[in-house]
Amino acid sequence: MNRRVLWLSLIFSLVGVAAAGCATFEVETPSEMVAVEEANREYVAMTHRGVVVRSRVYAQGDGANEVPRAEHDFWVEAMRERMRTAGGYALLTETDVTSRDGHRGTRLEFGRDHDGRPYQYWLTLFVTEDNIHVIDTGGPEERFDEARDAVESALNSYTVLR
Amino acid sequence: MIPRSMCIILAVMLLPTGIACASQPDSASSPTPAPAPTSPAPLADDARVVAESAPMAQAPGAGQAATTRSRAEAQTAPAEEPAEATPPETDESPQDVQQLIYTGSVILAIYDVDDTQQRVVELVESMDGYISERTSEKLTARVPAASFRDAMDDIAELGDVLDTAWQAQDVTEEVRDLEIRLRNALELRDRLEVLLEDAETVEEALAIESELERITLEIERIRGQLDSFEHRIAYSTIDVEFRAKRMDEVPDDEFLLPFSWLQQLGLESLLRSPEVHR
Repeated sequence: MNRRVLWLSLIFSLVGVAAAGCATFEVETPSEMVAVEEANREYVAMTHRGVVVRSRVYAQGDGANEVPRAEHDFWVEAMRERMRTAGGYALLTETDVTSRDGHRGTRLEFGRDHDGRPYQYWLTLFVTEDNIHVIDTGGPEERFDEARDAVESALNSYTVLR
Repeated sequence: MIPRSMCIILAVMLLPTGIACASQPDSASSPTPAPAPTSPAPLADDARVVAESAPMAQAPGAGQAATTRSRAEAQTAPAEEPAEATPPETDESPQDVQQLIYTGSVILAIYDVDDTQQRVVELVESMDGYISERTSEKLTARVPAASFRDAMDDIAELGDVLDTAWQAQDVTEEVRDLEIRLRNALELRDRLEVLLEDAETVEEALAIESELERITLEIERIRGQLDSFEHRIAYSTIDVEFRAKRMDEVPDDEFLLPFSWLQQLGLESLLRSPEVHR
């Protein structure tokens, strides 16, 4: 009996280690939000009024499903132009940020009207050797302002694992 | 012997052809360049007034020369020319000044549209301009031509500019052509009125009146075209739009990277993501 328990514990531990090893990031969900998706490469959380924080991690490399490798500044430029030209978003600020683990990143803060109503949309980018971490958040401006503390708490808790 | 009535009718029909061949631009027809009027400046009104009051030509053949001299004599001289001056040389006439219509467009990012539009309105009105059209996504401003460049620069300061363009359309030849045609039509109308008074038969009178009606309509049409040019020259047009550049309008020198993760950025994808995961 004890041997069986030991074997099961070992197996579960190995599984946990394997799962943790596949994780690309960590983030803490603020108390004002609920996480609706938590996976190795994607995370979605939202407030009760619809402000969303989302993280997606894309593999960089030469594989068929991988994004071609490029520098951090290249992807920042690509995101900026994508949002402004094809999206009609107004770039409000661009700042250097740092993940909890000290990884250098860039945050682009945009504004855009939908049906006459202003929205806020933030994009944060971290680039590693193997991955592109894209964290976006946004919502109607008045609701986003209400949830700003929670949003910034989630963003500041972001840890780049790989 | 050709009857008198036939002579008159032939003269009436041939007059437009003879006068249309006139090619001497006259100083009196020169449009005044539109500097920076606070209100739409009359363009070529002096020419029109002078043409209307010009003495009648003595005969069709001598009409061109006589008209030129009489118009020059009756010209109300601009401030820099003495009233009794001889007609200025063609190469010194104000009509050689370019008549330009300025149009511009500014595409701003779609943010704080209502507030930005209001600021555009206030800016335009401070320049003695006006808004000719306004929708939720676009407004069309008319500003005095001299303020066009400043207006474009100032509007660009009011938001995140995605694209801007402007052009100057040279309409000097079109305006000159219209003024020559107007002058000729006014002269023809004057002559027809004299002929009408001298008409001896009903047949003659009817022929002349028919031609008078035609030429009057032509005069009004030309005046309308000149008024339109005048206003478009005096007031430049600036379209201010709030929109994204559509994919099929992206210029050739722009390139959007073909990566799906980039295309998935944006509020629509973000705010729908909780639904996707539930």
